[in-house]
Amino acid sequence: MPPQEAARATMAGPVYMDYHATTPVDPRVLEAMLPWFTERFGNPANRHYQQGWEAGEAVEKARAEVARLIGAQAREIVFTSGATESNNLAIRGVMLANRERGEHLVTVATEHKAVLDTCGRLEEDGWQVTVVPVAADGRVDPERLAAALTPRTVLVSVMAANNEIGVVPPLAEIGRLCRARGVLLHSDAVQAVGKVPFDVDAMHVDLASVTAHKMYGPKGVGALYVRRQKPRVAMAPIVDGGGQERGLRPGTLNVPGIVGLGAAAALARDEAVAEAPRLAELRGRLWTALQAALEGVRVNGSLDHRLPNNLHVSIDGVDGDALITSLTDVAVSSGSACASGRGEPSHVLSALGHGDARTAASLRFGLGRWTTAEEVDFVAQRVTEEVRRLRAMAAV
Amino acid sequence: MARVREMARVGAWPPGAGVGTGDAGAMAEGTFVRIQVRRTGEGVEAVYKVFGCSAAIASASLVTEWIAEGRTLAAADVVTTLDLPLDRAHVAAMVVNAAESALASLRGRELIADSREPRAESREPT
Ligand SMILES: Cc1ncc(COP(=O)(O)O)c(C=O)c1O
Repeated sequence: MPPQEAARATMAGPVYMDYHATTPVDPRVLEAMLPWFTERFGNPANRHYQQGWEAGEAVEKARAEVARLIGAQAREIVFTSGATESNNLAIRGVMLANRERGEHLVTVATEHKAVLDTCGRLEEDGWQVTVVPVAADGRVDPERLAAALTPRTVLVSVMAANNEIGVVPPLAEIGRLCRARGVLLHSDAVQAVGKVPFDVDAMHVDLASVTAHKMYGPKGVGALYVRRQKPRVAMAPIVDGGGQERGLRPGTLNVPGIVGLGAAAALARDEAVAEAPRLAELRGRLWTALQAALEGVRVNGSLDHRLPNNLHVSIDGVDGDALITSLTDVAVSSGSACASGRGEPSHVLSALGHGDARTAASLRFGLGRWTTAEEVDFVAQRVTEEVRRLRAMAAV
Repeated sequence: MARVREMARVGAWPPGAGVGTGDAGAMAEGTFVRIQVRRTGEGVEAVYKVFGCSAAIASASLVTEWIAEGRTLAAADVVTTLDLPLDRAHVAAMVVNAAESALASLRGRELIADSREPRAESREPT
């Protein structure tokens, strides 16, 4: 069985269309990882015997793959436990190391909580944070961002693609203006890498977060890109210990995980070019089917500036929680916090100015490497059936 | 939450002498429920329409079932039976309110109908 089919065959349960939440490990990635649990168990910090230096070599190979995926140098990659840690390290690490330069940082209202909450904590500790709003299409206006910069601004953090609505901001433009003002730019690139072109030089990005489990690698391993030249980013660690990863991220390296991240990065580089148009076509098929079958469906955020694998819609006259609960055979995410009982829109939908979470359901569809046209048709049909049923249930 | 997918008692009857209707909430506020009841010989049957979260839908399904069984309705029992999170208790209460006003409206209509019924003595020639 070819690896793709093998992976499909092992995906049991509801039709999975939530690839922004996480992805299955590609069987080729798993195969690369397996020896590093058992026979090749060495600690890369132990360089004087075979088990140690073998592990060290595997880690360096993975480092080179991750670097190549984003157009960086291998020595600019720091391995972490995932993007939450990468975002924390980037933002805290830079602000801590650059106290003399300033105390101000700028981010955007639709960022992931791992960025927003890190900024919020820094604010509690005396730093100054400006959160720039987005336009109705979910994109941040570079002019507006530029207006927020002050002579004391050290860092700007703007994600490369949004994890809910899939919207892609004008990052290269933002990078150019940050560079011109001498401000560092961090980008949470978790959802973008392997899906849309992401090159740290083309985007003028100085720090970038990635995580393996969003690109067919294992959970609990990620990386932070830290520019070493033009400019050289000054960083402080946020945990202390044995000095691994140039002292920026001490702790024994997760060798199997890192090997998995490297293998996933290599596959992403090889296959992204072919995968993007296929996913965009399937996404178009889903959107066409939903529009044809249902009244009152709209896309949240720009459809043009969007990840090829994302569709995020609001559907009038249906409750989000009721819809998600009814779709037992489809794995998708709701765009509101209804499931947690509050019925409030997510911070991303709120930032877009959506005040109708009480009378509309929002759904996030994330397509991926193993999504088929049949699955898309099935999901469109099931969503249509449940929306019609729930609307009939409510009609008085 | 299998009740969310159940359609057995979803429906509406045209309002009339034998039908009691009770509403609670408002669609614009995120939860609306209408319960209707009518007599079936000795008992009562109930149907519902509902807009809202799965707790609202499941509560409406359960409460209309209880009406048919002749059970006393209490929001607390709905919460425990459906194992609802505490922040959904008000939704169960809303559904019970709608059911109680439906039953009250049925009794009210029956009283009015009774009082309009020509009395035996009034048919006697005067
Ligand atoms: C945009 C974005 N940033 C950060 C994260 C967190 O990544 P991790 O699960 O690796 O900590 C996620 C995933 O939840 C994400 O989508």
